[in-house]
Amino acid sequence: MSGFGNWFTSIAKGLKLTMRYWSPLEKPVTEKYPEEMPKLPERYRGLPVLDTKPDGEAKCVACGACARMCPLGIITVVPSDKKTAKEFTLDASRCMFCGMCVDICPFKALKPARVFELAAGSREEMIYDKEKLIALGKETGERSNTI
Amino acid sequence: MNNIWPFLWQLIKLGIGAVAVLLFMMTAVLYIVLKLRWVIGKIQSRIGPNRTGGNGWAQTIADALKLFQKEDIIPKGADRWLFTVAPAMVFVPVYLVYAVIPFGDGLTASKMNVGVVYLGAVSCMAVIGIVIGGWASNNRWSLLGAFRAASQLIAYEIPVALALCVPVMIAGSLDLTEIVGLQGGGIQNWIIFKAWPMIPLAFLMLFIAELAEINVAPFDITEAESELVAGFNTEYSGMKFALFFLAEFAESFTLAAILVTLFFGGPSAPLPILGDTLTGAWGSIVSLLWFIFKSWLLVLVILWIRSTLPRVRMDKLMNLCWKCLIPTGLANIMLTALYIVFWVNK
Repeated sequence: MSGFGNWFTSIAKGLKLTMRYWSPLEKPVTEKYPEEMPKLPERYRGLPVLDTKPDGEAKCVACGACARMCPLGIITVVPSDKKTAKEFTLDASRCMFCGMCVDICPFKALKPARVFELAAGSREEMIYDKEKLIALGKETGERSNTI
Repeated sequence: MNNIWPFLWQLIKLGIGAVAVLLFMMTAVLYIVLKLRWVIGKIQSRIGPNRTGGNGWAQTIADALKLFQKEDIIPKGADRWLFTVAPAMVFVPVYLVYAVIPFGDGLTASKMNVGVVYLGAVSCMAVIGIVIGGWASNNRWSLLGAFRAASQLIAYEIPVALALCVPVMIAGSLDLTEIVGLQGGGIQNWIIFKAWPMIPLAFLMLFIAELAEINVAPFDITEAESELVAGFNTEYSGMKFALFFLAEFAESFTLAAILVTLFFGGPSAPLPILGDTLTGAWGSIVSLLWFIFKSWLLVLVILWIRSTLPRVRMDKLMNLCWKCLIPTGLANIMLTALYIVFWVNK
């Protein structure tokens, strides 16, 4: 018989807790991903991509530090004669997102992209060139269009 | 030959009433199931059904259609005849209860001067169907579920009956229409506000015991999924399962309707200005709306409890009934009797 007092207090506690979740103020934790973009954290660590100067050119000076640092050797940098990268390719299909290239870059020309939708139909499409990397660098991680 | 037409007309009227009640029941059940899934989703910080029909409103309709077109399987070792009859045995009593519930002014299907006794008698017939279904399935889970149903539902009949006595004693009538009539004319006439603390205690007892009676969580040990697969309806599929399902959720509404009728003024408005002054068709409609609104609030409470509490263990459930509810119920009846003798009729 002694348990019945406890029953009622614990039931009341439980009901109070579920009522809090039931209230309209509480938002569900579910992310409706394809319909609504999840809000990326401020320091989201995505694929390394190229950062740009205000004039739209890549900051990269083609020193090649990232290519030497990359544990997988998936970055190739071809310098031009004006201290800029003529070609910059990154094989996103093999990248493991370690971010060491971002850390090593002396000119902060590489940054993690705020994008995670990188699926492609073939391996060749996953090898990103300079234009693609610059375009990805301009992504803000927000998407207005809905599916 | 002359008096066949009034008789036929009576039959047609009864038929229309029966179909209307059935349709009401189906709609209520479809929406209660949907609401249950939404409420449980919200409480578990999820969204719940949100695909079918735009925001999920058509989910249960789709589920029902799916159940209707499923293959109707009867297991090899089952007793075919009993197996087929059991879902109807569960469904029919639930349906019959709706006959005496006063939905509004002039919206009682059948005025009965022993309405409360009828309620108690008919609603406990469903257990026969559950036991038959569990037995006929020839499956050990079903049989265990049926055994549990037998011990649980029959035990909980007693506190239900004891608790029903108290508002009946206060109202002085067994006729539900009359009990509702007494509570008209404003919130202060509702039975729940009379005879403290006997009536609120009776309300609490009736609520708990009826929750066990209609097999909803935390008292759903007859179909405890974690122990018995699905309990008495393990072997059922398609239409037959749909009937069990329909009965189960219709009972949730029945419980709310009974509580509203006995304690919360039935179809009368909380303030006379809000609808009790209307007569005729408008009066019926407004009182029906009030009845549905009040019942709906209680259904929400049932869903809330259902999505909060974990299942009670079998022996604890029996302890609650035999050691707590039945002694309290008896004491409550005695107190109410003393109150009526020495206070009301002094």
